[in-house]
Amino acid sequence: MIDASWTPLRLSLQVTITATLLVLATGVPLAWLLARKRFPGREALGAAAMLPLVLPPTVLGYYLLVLLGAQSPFGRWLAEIGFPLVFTWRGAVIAAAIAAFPLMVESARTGFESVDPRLEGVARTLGRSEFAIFWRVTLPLAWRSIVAGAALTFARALGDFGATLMVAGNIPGRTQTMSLYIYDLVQANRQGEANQMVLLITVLAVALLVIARRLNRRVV
Amino acid sequence: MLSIWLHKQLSTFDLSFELNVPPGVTALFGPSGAGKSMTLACIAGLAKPDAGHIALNGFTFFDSHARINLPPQRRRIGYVMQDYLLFPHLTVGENVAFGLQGLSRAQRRKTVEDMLERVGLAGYEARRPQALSGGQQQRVALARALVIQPRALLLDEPFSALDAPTRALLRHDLLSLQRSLNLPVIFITHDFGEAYLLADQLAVLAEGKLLQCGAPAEVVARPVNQTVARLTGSRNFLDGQVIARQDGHLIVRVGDVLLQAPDASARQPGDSVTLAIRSERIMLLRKDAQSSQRHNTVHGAIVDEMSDGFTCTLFLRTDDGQRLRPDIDSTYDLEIVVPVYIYERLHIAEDRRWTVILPQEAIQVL
Repeated sequence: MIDASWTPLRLSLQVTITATLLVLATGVPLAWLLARKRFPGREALGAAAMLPLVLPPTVLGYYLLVLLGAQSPFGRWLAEIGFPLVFTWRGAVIAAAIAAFPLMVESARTGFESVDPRLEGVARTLGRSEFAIFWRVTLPLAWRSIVAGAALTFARALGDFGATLMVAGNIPGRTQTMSLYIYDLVQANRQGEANQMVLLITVLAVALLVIARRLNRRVV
Repeated sequence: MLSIWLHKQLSTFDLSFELNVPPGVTALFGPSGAGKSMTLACIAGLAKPDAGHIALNGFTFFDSHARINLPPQRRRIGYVMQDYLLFPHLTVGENVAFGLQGLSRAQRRKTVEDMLERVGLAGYEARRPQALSGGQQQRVALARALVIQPRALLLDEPFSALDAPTRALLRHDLLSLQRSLNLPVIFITHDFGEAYLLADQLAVLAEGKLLQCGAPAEVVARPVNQTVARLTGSRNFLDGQVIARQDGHLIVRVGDVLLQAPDASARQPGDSVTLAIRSERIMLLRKDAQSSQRHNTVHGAIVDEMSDGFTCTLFLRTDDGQRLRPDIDSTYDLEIVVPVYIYERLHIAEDRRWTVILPQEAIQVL
């Protein structure tokens, strides 16, 4: 019985790591855009990125289910190309990623905004390309906030319950992550195993929080 | 030659003027918030004018009519901003090397080494900017700007954040550096002494307008208006009326007194004028000297004084019947600046009654 508990943990890590990478790849560019560029609809975009933070996870999951499920053209197309998301571990990734997305955007945006734009100005007068300036000036100066955002993203994705349940279901061995597993253990009155899992998740989450807070305390 | 003609609407005023900057040092001088920093940002390409034309040696950077606006990367202008803005995550060497591209590793290291030596920081490559003093940071910022072999150099308040001895040292260094570079250099300052000391050309800017531009001594000698006179250190402004023109000068009634002033063009008897009298050029008449001069001489008593350690400022109230500012509720008529050693030699601390001469060179007709 104890053996069985490692599958949800493995699955949780697989989902959470993939979701965190996905959020890094999409959230950091968006945060940079919001922090540095002025364009019409910027405020609306910033607000939309925050939406998953205020929506109930089940509502968020419902939207995703409608958008990605077999009822929608997009969902059907995904199924046709052999990449269905609903009721797969990939669906759990999408759910966890979107639920955690605002944390990454907010943290990275704060990080980018804390970089003095005049430093980028100096770099321009020194002849460096915008690409080089991003990689050599902006990113290195904002990286603490980005890593902190990634830690928060990881913690939030690890703990997602509602959105994951709606999109990916609770299929043992396929989409049953730790959070869902703990719920099942409690339902089945298997308190001892639930305690182990809860303790494990708590330690992990607290560690991530400590990391995030350390990084956000700016040293430079 | 850097030629600047720009127009830009700012929140409280319009920045709008034309200025030519030959090789040599041009001081952009004016009070805070006159648009000086914005001007440099427009030249460097970090801000965009609403209209205008900016070109260096015939090479156009910006032209609103032709829709040209070169990015800063293609202007090659060395720009040292306020606070120096070194990259805090890079070492001194990496900061200086930041603008170097297309060189081998060895060439880069050699170039950085040479440049740091040139600004007096040989061997500082591995240091962190945070570990440097303000003056050292400024030198690194200068090295970083110079290493790209800029076609012009812009310095925004380069000395204002430094302590006095460092400032004096770096001012001197900048002068010798400039002689070896022969570039157009624009530096911003709100310190008139600094502008006078360093500039070949003094451009006085206030509220976005270029009030006057010329050799510093020329601007001091012939300010075009009261604002320039005030900014360039004139302290005494006396309202008067032209009584006559004779023998190449004006006779101006100021309060109870008739003064001879240099003949400014197009002033006619009856005109109201303001005389700016430079306080450092007013002369105290020694008690033991016989003066043949009758005109521009007034008598009075020193009613107040203050000293900055180098000079003493004396506040002279002229005697009744000789008041220069009788209408104005003022306790004194003239501010006079004398060096401390003169103050001591003449025993001004004890001897308060003086006759002073207002030489024509001290008087500017506005």
